[in-house]
Amino acid sequence: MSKYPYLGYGLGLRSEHYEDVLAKKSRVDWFEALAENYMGIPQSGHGPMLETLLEVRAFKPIVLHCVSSNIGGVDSLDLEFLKNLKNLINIIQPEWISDHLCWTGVNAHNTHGLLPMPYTKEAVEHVSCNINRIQDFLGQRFMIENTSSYMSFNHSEMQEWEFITEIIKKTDCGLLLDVNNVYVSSQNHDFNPEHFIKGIPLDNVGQIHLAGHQVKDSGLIIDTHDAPVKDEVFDLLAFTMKLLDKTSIMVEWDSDIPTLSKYEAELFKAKDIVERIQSDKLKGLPTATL
Amino acid sequence: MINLRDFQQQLYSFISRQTDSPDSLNFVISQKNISRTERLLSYRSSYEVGTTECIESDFVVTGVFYGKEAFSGFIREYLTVHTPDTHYINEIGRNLPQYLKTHLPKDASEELVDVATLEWLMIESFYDYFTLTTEKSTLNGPQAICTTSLKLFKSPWPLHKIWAHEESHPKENTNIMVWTTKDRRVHCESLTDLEFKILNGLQANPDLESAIDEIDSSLSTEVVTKSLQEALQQWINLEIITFKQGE
Repeated sequence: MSKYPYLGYGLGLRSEHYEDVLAKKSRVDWFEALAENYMGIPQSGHGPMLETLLEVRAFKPIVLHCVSSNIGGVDSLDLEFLKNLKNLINIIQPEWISDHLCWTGVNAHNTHGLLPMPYTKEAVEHVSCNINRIQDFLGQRFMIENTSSYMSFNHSEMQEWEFITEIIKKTDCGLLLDVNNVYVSSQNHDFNPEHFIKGIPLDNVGQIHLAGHQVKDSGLIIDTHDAPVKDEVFDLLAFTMKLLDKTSIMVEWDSDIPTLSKYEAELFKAKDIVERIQSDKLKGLPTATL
Repeated sequence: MINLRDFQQQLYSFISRQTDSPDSLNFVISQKNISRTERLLSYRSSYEVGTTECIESDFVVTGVFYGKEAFSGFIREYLTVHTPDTHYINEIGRNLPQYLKTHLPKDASEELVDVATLEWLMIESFYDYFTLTTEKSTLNGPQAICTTSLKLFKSPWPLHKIWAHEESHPKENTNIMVWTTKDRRVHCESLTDLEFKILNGLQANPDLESAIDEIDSSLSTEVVTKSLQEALQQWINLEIITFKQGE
C-alpha cells in the first residue's frame, strides 16, 4: 500500500507548453514542475512564472521536483536553498517534493550534474542524515529518485537497491522510482533490472519516472531525456506495475521538447500498458514471476 | 577505503579539469568493455557541454564577434576561474563581461566587452521579469511603473544595431534599454537622452509628478511633460511600463 496519493498520469510542465496547458488542452491528470525554475534568480519572487504555475495549480495537481538539494554532497545542506524551497511549497502546496539520490558538487562548486554515490555504509549514514534534516525542515516526507549512472566504484559495499533500502529504513522517505534510470544503470553496470525492482521497498514508491535515452557506440547508455521511451523501458515498467499498486506515472522530456500532443502520446503508451496489467490483475490472471 | 569527502573531491577535480589523469581515480571500475576513462569522461563532457552551451546560447553575438571556435575555448578558460557555484545555471555567465575585459584577445573588436555586457543584461532582464515582483507603491497620484525587467545603460556603441545585425557599426554614443515581455522575448532598443532620463527617474520613483519634477531642472516642465505624453503610450504598448491612475 503506497504512502502517497494516486494522481494518475502526469507530464513535466514545460514553458513551451504553458499556452496549451492554460487553455486546458492537455489531457493529463497532473504536472511535475522543476522547483528551481520557480524559485528564480537572483532571488525568490512572486513573478509571472510562478503566477503561471499557480494558474495551473488551480485546475491540476502539481508535484515539485528538484535537482539542487545535493543530499549526497559532503558540504553542509544549503539552508538558503531549503528556505526558498519551503516558501515555494507554501505557495504551491504540491502533492509531494522530490530530488535525486546523488551529489551535485563539493566545496561550494556546482557541476549542474547528478553525480553517482558510492554504495557504502558511510554514504548511507550521510545521505540518511541529510534526508532527515530536510524532512524535519520541510515538515513532510521527502522523496528521493534513483539516478542513472555511468560508473561504479570498487569500494561500494552493497548494490544500489540495497543502498536505497537502507536509506529508506533510516528515513522512511519516499522513492521516486525512475524505471528508465534502473534500465540504463543495469545495462551500464551489468545487473538484472528486475532484481533492482524486487529489491526496493515498494510501499515507499510514490511516483514513477519514464524517459528516453541514447546508446553510445561503446555501448554506454546515457540518460538524455530527449527521445521517446524505449520498448525495453516499457517492458520494465510492465514488470514493475505487476508488483505495485496504482502509482502515479510521469514521462520526462527535457531536451528537443516535442509538441504537447506528441509528449502526451508517450505517456498514454504507458497508460495502456498499466491498464492492461491492472485488468489482468482484476481477472486473476498470472502477473509477475517473483 | 576512500572516504566520501575525498571521493567527491577527487571526482570533482577530474570533472572540472583540475586533474587530468583518470588513472589516479582507480576506484572507478572498468567493466563491460567500457573503460574507466570513458566512464569518467562522460561526466566531464556532460559538465563541460552543459555549462559551455549555456554560455554560448546566452552570449550569441559575443561569440560571433569573438569567433565561434575561439569563444568555446575562452568559455572553458573562464569556467576554470569562475567555476559554477550557484544552483542556477544561467548565473554562470555573470562574470563573463568583466573577465573578458581583463582577458581581451589582441585582435578583439573594440565593442566586444560592451556586447557581452548587453547580453548579460538581457539574461538578467529575462529572469528578473519572471522572478521579481513589482513592489506596490503607497503613493496616491498617477504612477508609471516600470517592468522589473527594464535595464538601462549607456554605451559608446549603437549596441541595439550591433546586436540586431550581429555586425560592427561605427562608434556612436547610445542610450540602451533592455526589457522582457510576456511572450518571453527580450528586446533591446535605443533611447534619446530625455527618454533615458525619464525612464531612469520612473525606475527610481513611479510617481509621475515627482518624476517630472526631478528629471532635469534645466528643461522646462512643459518639454518634459510633452515628451512624456508622447513616450508613455508607446511604452505602455511595448510592456515597458504599466500606468496606474492612483487612488
